[in-house]
Amino acid sequence: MTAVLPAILRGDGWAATARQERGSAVPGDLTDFAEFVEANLPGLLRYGHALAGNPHDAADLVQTVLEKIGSRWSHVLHKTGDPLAYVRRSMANAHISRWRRLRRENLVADIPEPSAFTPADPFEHEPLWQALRDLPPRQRAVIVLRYYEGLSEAEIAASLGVSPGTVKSQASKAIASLRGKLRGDEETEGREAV
Amino acid sequence: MSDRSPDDDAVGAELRRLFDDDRLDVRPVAGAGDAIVAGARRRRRRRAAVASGGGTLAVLVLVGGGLALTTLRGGDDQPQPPVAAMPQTTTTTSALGSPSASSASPERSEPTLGESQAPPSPEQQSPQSPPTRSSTSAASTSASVYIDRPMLRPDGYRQLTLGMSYQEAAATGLLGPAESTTPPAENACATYAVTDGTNAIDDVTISRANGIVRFRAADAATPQGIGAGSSLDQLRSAYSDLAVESNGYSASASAGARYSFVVATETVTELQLVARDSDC
Repeated sequence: MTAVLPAILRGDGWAATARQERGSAVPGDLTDFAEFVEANLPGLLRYGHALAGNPHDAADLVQTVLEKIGSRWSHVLHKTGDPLAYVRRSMANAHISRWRRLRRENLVADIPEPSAFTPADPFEHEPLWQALRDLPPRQRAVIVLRYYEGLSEAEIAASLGVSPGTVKSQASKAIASLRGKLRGDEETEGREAV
Repeated sequence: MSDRSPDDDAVGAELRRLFDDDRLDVRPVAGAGDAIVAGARRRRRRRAAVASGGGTLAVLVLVGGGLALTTLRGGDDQPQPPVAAMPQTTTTTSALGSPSASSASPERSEPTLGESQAPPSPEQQSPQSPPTRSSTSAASTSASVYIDRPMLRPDGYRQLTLGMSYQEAAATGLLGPAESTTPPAENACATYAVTDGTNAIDDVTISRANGIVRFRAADAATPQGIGAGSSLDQLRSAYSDLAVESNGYSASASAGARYSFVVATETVTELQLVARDSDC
């Protein structure tokens, strides 16, 4: 696993973090939450990357959802036997609703990319990754839950709070559009550079 | 997900390969966990402060999720929620997974707090009611539009009620074909199609421990006439106690259950009745 993204890596960092959390400031139930975060952060970030399409939004998604869930940690633990699954579901839903807001913002003003702060997209040359980018968020979430998480249609439906029929139609729309994009890319290569 | 054409399989295989790629890894920066725990604690403190802050704020929340939530957020007078994912803000708002030199401190993650609480569709684009897009759907009252809709009562649908065990529910004869259904496994939940010859309810989710914990409506609407297809305006005028959820709103249905409304593009896309006590 090569680190494509320059980041300050693990090693002492994590150990120190854990020690500090246990030793000092964390009262009561949040100790448990700190351990949960420590154990699951890398996996959640990766999942977030698949969902959101870039590391920045992934980090943002993970942080927002975890903070929200952490603030109700004992309640969440009580309510669900599998907090990790709960977090992942929340991320998928947060991704969907966030995108709606973003789109609304983008309709108002087109924000130019501040290239100085934008790291190279590791999947820049992956047509499929680029095609995923154009999917509506719910379709993307369905695709990620299905091909990244390996969930069944019913499980996806339960996660996103939609009917299995919706999942089915969203999945087939998404696949059709991905397939179309992949084909289209090949075909348009020389042809219609309008 | 069985009957896929070879083409779909090809795309599926490509997707699996892509999602298995090491390049998907995002490494957290040191201290990322601290930042999150600190953020969670801040959030909890703030909620406690709001809860004890008396009736005024509570009333604001009841009036309309969008307005109230942005008001609650530290008195910034911008009606729009901060969009943390915008390019120019990400480097300072994310305390983790930082791909560049911005080792954001926990404090700087503050702007993202409360972010995902923002309602999916505040009415900031059209301050007035939008008569333009109601040419096809009657704009008058919600009741007149949905008067014929089957009803998802606060306690359930037809003989199916919240809390009912799988055995009781199966005995009503309203669950999918008997030979295809089995009870939920120990410590698990399962979802069953409702087959009563109508398209009122899509399915129910039954927990081994808590019985029926969720109804997912298709055509059915609440007693107030709100269901899939209702506009956000109709939803708001029918329920004064809407709470914001990750993908829509919810309103209390009874002491033990709430109606959950999935909202997209100012329209209710799905109605559910969800038990408060659910382990699913």
